[in-house]
Amino acid sequence: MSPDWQAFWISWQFDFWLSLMLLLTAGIYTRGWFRLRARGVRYFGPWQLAAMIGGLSAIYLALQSPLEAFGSLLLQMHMLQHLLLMFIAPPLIWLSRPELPLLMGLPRVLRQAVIAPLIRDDGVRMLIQGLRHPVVAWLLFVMATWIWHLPALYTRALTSTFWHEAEHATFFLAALCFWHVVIAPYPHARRANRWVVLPFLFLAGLQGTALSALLTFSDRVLYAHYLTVPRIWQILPLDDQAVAGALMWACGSLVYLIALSLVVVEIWNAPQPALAGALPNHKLRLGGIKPAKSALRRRAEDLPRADASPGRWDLLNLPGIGAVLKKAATRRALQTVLLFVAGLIVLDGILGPQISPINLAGVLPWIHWRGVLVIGLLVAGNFFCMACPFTLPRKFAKRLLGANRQWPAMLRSKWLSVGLLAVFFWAYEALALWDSPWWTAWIVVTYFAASFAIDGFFRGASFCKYVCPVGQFQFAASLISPLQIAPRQASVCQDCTTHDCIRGGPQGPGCQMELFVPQKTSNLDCTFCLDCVRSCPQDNVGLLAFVPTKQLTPTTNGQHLLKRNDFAALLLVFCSAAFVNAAWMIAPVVALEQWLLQILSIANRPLFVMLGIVLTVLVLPLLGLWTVAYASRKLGGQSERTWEIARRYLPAFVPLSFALWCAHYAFHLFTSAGTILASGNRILADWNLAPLSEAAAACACCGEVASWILPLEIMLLDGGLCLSLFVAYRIAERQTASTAAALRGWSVWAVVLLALFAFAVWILMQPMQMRGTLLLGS
Amino acid sequence: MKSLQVLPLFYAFLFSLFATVAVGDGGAVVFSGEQGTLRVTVFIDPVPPRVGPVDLSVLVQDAQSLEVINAYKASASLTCSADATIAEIKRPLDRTTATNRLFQAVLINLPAAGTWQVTLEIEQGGVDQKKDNKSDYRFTFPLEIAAPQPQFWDVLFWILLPAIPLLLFLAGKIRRVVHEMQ
Repeated sequence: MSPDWQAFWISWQFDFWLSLMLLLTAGIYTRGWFRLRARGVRYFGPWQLAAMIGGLSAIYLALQSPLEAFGSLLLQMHMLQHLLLMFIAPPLIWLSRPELPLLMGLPRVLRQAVIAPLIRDDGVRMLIQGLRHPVVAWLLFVMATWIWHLPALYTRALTSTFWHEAEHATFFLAALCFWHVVIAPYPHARRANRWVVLPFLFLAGLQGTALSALLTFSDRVLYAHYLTVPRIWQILPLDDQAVAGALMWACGSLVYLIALSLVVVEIWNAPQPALAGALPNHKLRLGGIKPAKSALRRRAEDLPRADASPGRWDLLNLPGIGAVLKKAATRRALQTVLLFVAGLIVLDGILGPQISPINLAGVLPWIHWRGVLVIGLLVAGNFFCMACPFTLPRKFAKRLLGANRQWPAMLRSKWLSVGLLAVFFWAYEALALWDSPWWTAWIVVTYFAASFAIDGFFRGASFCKYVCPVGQFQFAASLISPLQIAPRQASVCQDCTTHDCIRGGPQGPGCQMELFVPQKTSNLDCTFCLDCVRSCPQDNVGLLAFVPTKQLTPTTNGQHLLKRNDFAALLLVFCSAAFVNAAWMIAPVVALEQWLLQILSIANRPLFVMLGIVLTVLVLPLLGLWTVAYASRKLGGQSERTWEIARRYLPAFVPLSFALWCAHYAFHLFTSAGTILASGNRILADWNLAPLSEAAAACACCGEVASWILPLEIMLLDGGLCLSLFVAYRIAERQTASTAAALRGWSVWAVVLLALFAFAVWILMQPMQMRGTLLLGS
Repeated sequence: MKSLQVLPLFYAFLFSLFATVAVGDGGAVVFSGEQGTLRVTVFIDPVPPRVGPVDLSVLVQDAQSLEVINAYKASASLTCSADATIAEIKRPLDRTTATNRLFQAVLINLPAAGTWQVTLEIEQGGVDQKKDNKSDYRFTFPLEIAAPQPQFWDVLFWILLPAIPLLLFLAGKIRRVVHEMQ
């Protein structure tokens, strides 16, 4: 083999993400295929599996084979790529009848949380119906083909990665629409007259022939790019163009011809379709298989039902993990580990060097703990409270001091803890806690002392429920966590007379937070201690998966909760502090602060910060909220008081705010995770167990930001915005009689949410390194 | 039936992921020249080249037969004409980093905008020395480097992503409003 051909055959590429996505799709399809086969559904034979693998392989060939590498040098290679993406991959994918296997292959949680809301959306349904319309699909296919073959655009795609990707995406998506009409894969009923497919294919073939002829018989090179690139294998650009045209002609015509023939045969044999679509119902019955429609209806019924707990995914049912989580010893072990870590933080914070990036008190709470905390809340739930290090001393205090007093009735609300949360945010800014190991250590000590004293004197988990500001943050954030403590079977709870989950019983203590599982509608106040799980004699309490917005929408959230001002205050502080805390990290806001201090001649910075916190976390958000609620009330024609409307809509801000918390803290975690090495090395060096490594210290917490971090942060915000808009609409819909009124009422909130989204994006696009922290030696 | 109509969207999403990771194809030709028995073509990606990472790929051919020559060592040196304080950047080219294995390529991080002088040195390996007494070839050409795009443009796709579900959602609701009014 000549060296050129050797070079050709080894010019394969390996893109991790592409390979992963293709394998994932193949895996999901295969899983669903096996599950359907196991249920006796015989529409999915080996041929369907082979078609799916073939379709995905065609995509891989088009994008990762030497065709991709040589496409910029030879038009015929580029043409082969396009043929694979337009004539091979899409038909194969539709012939594999992918819908049901892909649905069945997805995890149930994903079906319920992502697919079900999409299914219900009118806009999505309208879009899909539109794309499946023969005229639309044909026009899309033809337009994509011709527009991208215009010399200016084709050349643009050859020199720009972005436009090249856009070209391939357009070809593939247009071809998917086109071939869907032709194949109408099971279980789509072929309602349209199949005769329509004949002119549909014939006209498509005609325009393809015209374009092919243009390329083949042109006496000049249409795409100037191929005149500038070096000629390889002695192929002249004009010959290359003619071959490309011939390939398009031959392959395209062949595929059209095969499709036409099969459709003709299908029409000829009507009413028994032969190409690849649904089998007639009598065949299904003969085969002992349920008709397609009823199968679909059954799936549709399975998907959107949100309130039925039976069958929900339950973390505690996971083999191994569930059993481990249920054990009280697991919780004690986690608490002991974190207690030990907290002890190290206190010791290092007080006795160690006051250089934040190499001190455990400057690193573990502000970089690692916060990052892990928000990621845990996002993907699971409030697991930090489960492992809270303050719990063990609190238990000791209860034994020591008796804990026989009731928490004062006047303090049985969120007001105290919300106030403390605001104070915590003030202290964070005013004392620059991220840069002060000493203050951090003393705050931890204060926390221990407060929890010890309060729970030593008062019954239950009074500290957690009424005092702990960190806990309140987590309670608010966990309102959109996917996991929630809930009864597995509502009927079992209805028959229960002992109520061990709250009272306690022979199997363990009940809920210290006084939450009654059957009446629990959200994660508010739930510490995931799992006492209720252990105490239930029926084993009827699980850690179930719910759609993340369920707790925030008025249909399921307890009305009493939405009428509580203290709860509203908690949400207000949680949401506004997300923006204030992130914004106060960035250079423009720090510059503004310096300017104000100078202009106003203020020497007392803590006082200035306090005013700033009161203004930006409480006063301005409150005024803004009231104004928006007033506008919404007027537009939506609601009769409620303005404040009641404002309070009702507050949960809609939680997803976006939580997304910003996640983006902010995840940024610090991903950019500064290595600080643990620097601080660990410094401690070992202090004890003469290892030399002080400059390399470890140099990593510090202001390292280079990887290019994927900003897109990841914005994707988090994207998700938060969509969920916020959705929750706001659900709230509006609940309050108004018509869709038009709901949209009017919602529009004001949507504008505000979009503005907040834009503000959050702006914040994230500023440099966000932990200001004040210094590298060792700098 | 409705439950399945959403699957094409799933494919669209899937392919958008594919598309964003698909590798580009070498960019545009910025230099083509002959010296002795060699013909050299240089590709640059992105187009136009901007401050930041720039992919430089080189194809070496026999000037007469246009046969691709594989046995050679190449290196690229770049100096900024506009700013003498910026040190010369010199990198060897490598076949394994090239997408197309007929090429040799290198990824260079350019720190400043303006005109850069690119010097391409090619050491003979398989080039027939009898035809030409020169053992090394040196090609020099200017390369205009544009200022970096604002970061905003890099993430615009991600920022605008919610527009798709939002527009779909609004379209559905407006359709329902029209239906209710009828």
